[in-house]
Amino acid sequence: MKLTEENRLLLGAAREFAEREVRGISVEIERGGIPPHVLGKMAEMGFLGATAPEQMGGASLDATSYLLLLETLARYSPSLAFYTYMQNTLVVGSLLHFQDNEAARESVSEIASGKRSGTVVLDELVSNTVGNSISIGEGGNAVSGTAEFVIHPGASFILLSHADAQGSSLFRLNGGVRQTGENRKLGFRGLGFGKVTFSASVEESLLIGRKSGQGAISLAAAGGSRAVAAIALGIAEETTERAVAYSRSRRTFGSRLEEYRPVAYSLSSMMAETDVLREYLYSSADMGEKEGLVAKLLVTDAAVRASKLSMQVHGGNGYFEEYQIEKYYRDAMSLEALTGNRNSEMVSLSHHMLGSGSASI
Amino acid sequence: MIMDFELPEDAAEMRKKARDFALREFTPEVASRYDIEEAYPDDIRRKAFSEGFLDMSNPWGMLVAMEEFCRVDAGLGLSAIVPAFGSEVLMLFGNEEQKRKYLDPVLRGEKISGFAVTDSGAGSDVAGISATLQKNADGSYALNGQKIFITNGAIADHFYLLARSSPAPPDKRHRGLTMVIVESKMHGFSASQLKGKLGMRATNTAELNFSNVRIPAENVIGEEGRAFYYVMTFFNISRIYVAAQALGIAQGAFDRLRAYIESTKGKNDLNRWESTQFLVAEVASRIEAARLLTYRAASYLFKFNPDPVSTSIAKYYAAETATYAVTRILEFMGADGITGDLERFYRDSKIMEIWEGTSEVEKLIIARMLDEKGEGK
Repeated sequence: MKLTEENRLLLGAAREFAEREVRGISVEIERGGIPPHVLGKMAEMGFLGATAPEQMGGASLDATSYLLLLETLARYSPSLAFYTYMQNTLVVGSLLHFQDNEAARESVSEIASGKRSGTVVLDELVSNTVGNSISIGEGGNAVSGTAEFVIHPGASFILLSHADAQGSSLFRLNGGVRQTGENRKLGFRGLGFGKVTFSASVEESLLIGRKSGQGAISLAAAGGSRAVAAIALGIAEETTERAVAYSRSRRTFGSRLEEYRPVAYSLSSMMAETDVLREYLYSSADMGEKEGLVAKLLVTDAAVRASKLSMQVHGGNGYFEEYQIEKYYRDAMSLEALTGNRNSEMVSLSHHMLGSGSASI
Repeated sequence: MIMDFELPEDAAEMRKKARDFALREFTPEVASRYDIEEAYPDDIRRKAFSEGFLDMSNPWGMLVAMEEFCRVDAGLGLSAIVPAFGSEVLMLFGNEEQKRKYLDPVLRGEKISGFAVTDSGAGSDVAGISATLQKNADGSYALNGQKIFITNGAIADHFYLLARSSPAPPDKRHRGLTMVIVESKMHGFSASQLKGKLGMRATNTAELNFSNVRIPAENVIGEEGRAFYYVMTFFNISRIYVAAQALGIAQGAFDRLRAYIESTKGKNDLNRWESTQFLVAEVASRIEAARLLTYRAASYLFKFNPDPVSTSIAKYYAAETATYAVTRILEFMGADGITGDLERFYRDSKIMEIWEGTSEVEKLIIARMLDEKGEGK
């Protein structure tokens, strides 16, 4: 994989930032959330508006640099990487569908500067058993209803799509949003998660824009498969590297773990797999939805297996918070569930690979 | 003669009784609270004892109770049955006085025991432990060293503890290990709970430290220097109970999958897809295989004819089945999975592949003992 000068600069800056600001507090983030001063520094570095255009205060990173940023952050704190993905891919990504709208442009600059944070109601996360119910009042934009599984519900504003016969509208709610349930989720505990109830007045709910076809948030999420894959890649690489380091220092039955063939085979296979996946992810950084989906499905799966392997190599030590392997183990398994639904993604993959007549029974 | 796949009648009754108890006591709210607080459920331990679940004279009953308890919640389930942890060692190798003094109060539900082998430098490699016993002039011993990841560590009244009492002869590292009974109130003994576990957070896990703890000679279990054998004998018993824990977790995850699929009927009806039906069939088959292996190993043990190969196969396969089942089901349930009970099952299941012998150790035992047995034996 060849990195451009711009990629290398970004990678260096991201690593230095993560070493300095994140390494020491990664466990603390899981317990108490991301400290505001870290988000302030993230904004200064241009990470919160990484994908936003320069004229809106963003860093306007190219696709590869953005993936490198997420991969790097995920190695230190998957929660922080996910937060970055949310602000960029989901929030800014949705707003940029309506660049003509002044409020949309203004919201993007506020995200980039760290002045405000946003979140979205992800249709892809709607529970299979309890659906979301959101309705728009007649004669105005008043929004009411409930949404399940909202990540970072404490954000300064929330974006939601509302579909009707003509297409889909994107609303920004600045108020009238109340978290009515807290979900204790498996992973990414540094980010809040819960059920949200809306009763936003006309003043609190702003129509950002309308478009035909798929909603802006769904499009942003679908276009963000690679970003999710980059987070998964960071988790897979970090857990594997930590397992390798442990296998070199830990001795059992008089030898280093890495000297035992089953350990060496498992670790070297995992390293080979992450190498290949990394190549694939970056070489397809500018390609379409299909390649993004392939990357997401394969890398999230590899991250789950890598974190499990790392836990096994670490033995009892890996089971405790201190070594942080247990965090990656939880986060890896949660990543896909928080960004979509594997069943529907497998249907999409089948349609991409085999055509729309496939996967129907 | 036909093979009989039915459990003894009293075990079948115990299974029903254990299921009722677990559903009544381990409600999702209670399970979640102990998980979050990392607290040991002493009230549940007492209730489980008073209802007769800790009955070492009924091993089949204890085995199915372990399975049914973990099926509802593994952390609470194990906590309810684990107060006598390690007692088999005393039953098999202890003398009458030791049994009277230490075992009987545990079996009466008055005291809690623990089994302390692992230290920070040696887990799978039992003979690599660093705790030491040195003989004093008066015949007693001075115990020094540390242990980690000890179940019941901060709540047990006494431990069956492994330490090195003489240097190992070259290539005979398993010699020179001795097991002693250590009371937690002995001078020089300290325990601190280890927090921040991934799962099984209702169980108590601690680090133990001993500095010149005086161990009276009468607290040596069996013969000095022979304890490696006692530990391995114990693992051949405890591994079957771990297999039952893993089996319970897998079955519990499967129960939740089926309830979930059921709850989508009339909505998006997930069961109409063959991919869903395959998932159900694949997980069900693995669980059934794990159950048969576990019961087979148990049947040998409970007839006083344990077969270490069967035991290790059962433990290894059941543990892998637990993580396999929970992972597959979580993947299927997505956001509904990682926010419900099942997320705790994911965290609880992983330790099954680690404690009482990692999957790697089980595999080595299986291969090496098969090799020793030779072909056709």
